[in-house]
Amino acid sequence: MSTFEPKIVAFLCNWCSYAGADLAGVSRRPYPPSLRIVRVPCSSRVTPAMILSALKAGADGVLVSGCHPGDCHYLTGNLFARRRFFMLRKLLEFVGLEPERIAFAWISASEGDFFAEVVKEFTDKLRQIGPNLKFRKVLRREPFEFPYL
Amino acid sequence: MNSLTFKLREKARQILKEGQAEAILAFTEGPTPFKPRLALIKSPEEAERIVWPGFSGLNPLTLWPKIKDIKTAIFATGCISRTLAVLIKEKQLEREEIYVVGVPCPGLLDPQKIPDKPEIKKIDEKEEKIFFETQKETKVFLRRELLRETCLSCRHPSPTLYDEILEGESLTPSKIPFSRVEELEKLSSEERAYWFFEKIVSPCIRCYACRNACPLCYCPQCFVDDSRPQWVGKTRDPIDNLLYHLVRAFHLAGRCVNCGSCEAACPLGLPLQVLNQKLIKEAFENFTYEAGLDLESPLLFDTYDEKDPDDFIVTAKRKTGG
Ligand code: SF4
Ligand code: SF4
Ligand code: SF4
Repeated sequence: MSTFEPKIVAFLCNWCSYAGADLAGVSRRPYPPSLRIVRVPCSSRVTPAMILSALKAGADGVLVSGCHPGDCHYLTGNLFARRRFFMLRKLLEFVGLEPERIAFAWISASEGDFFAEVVKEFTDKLRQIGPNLKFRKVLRREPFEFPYL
Repeated sequence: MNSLTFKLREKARQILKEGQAEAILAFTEGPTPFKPRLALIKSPEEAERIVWPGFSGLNPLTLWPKIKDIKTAIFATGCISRTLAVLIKEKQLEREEIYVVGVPCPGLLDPQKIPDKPEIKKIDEKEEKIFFETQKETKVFLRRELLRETCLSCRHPSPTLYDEILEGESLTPSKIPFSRVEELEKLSSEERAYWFFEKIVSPCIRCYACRNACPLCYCPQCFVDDSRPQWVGKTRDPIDNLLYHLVRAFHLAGRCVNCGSCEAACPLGLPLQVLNQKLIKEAFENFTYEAGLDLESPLLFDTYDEKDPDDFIVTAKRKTGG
């Protein structure tokens, strides 16, 4: 799969991680061009339906990133988000659906280098896992075949 | 007559006479013994229609938006009282709006567990025994053979919230509340994915009966009805089915009271409640949280703790081992 280039949808919070991505850009840190960034007001704005929709639309991975605990612009948004993402992960694991395709990170506005590093590592990991075939919705003429076993 | 039916009728007459409530939301005899119907009983004479809903898995509080403008009494088993507690905490109902008669729950029964049910003419319950009258004979089953999976996994069969409580004995709280979940957890991730597709995603016809039968799925516009953005497509594409089931289960995380109304409503008898039970289990193990046990503590996602698990979140500190 040497030619496979993963696509990642990244939900970045406006106040920390989006600014972190910005810093990575202005400091000219190279990272793979795999990201499609969606700016959200807070990591707690991200719902499971948004994450799963991104995968359904064909993304190979989803990155959700927000401020560190204690740094949230809305004080505690990321702490509420943390519980939800924890439960979502447990649910995805339970139904055997590649929770590795969804990554969560806390990245502050000053961590431009780290942002580039996270994107690079996540992209490498997705290269190994391969393209998203289980979640992606394609128009089918044939009855659906179970793609796992 | 079933002794619980007798008790419910007697209590209903008393409440309507003494005026603790203007109406009673209860099950009445339906077209078949398996399908009792919910009705709003308003006079002591009508109370004769009330029955104990042995085989109806529907949670009567599913109709809560319709009883808001009239002081109503309900008969609440454990899960129904917990549903009420969650609805009150979510500010959908006021405690004073509902008069709650607690019923120690003997457990509800699953029609799918009876062999040859179409011939059955009449059903009677006497404590541990269930009698089925067919044309020729009367068959006897033990209650525990027919209990719903939900009731077998019930940790709180006695009501937690009530104005008064009927006498009687309830089921013993389950010692294996998560057996269905644990069985699946033992499998490999591939096998679980296979189970999910074979048992839920692929057969589901997305009739939304499971959503409609859930007392806590009361959104005026459900996410499946949105058209901009359209979260789920209109066909039965498995990916849309998958998305529906995961998101629905997630919306009930920390709220689902394990009443089993969703599973009982499914026309295909799919084991969809297992997803909710998984989330109940995780909430209990990681946040010592159970839905609807009291009126004070915040809902699972209405609060947070500094020490909530976060080892799945990537941070610079964690990476450098600092
Ligand atoms: S009730 Fe059953 S068939 Fe209908 S949407 Fe729910 S799981 Fe699917
Ligand atoms: S999702 Fe939970 S609360 Fe809703 S009907 Fe099912 S078991 Fe009851
Ligand atoms: S599935 Fe979600 S959006 Fe739909 S009614 Fe239930 S809680 Fe509301």
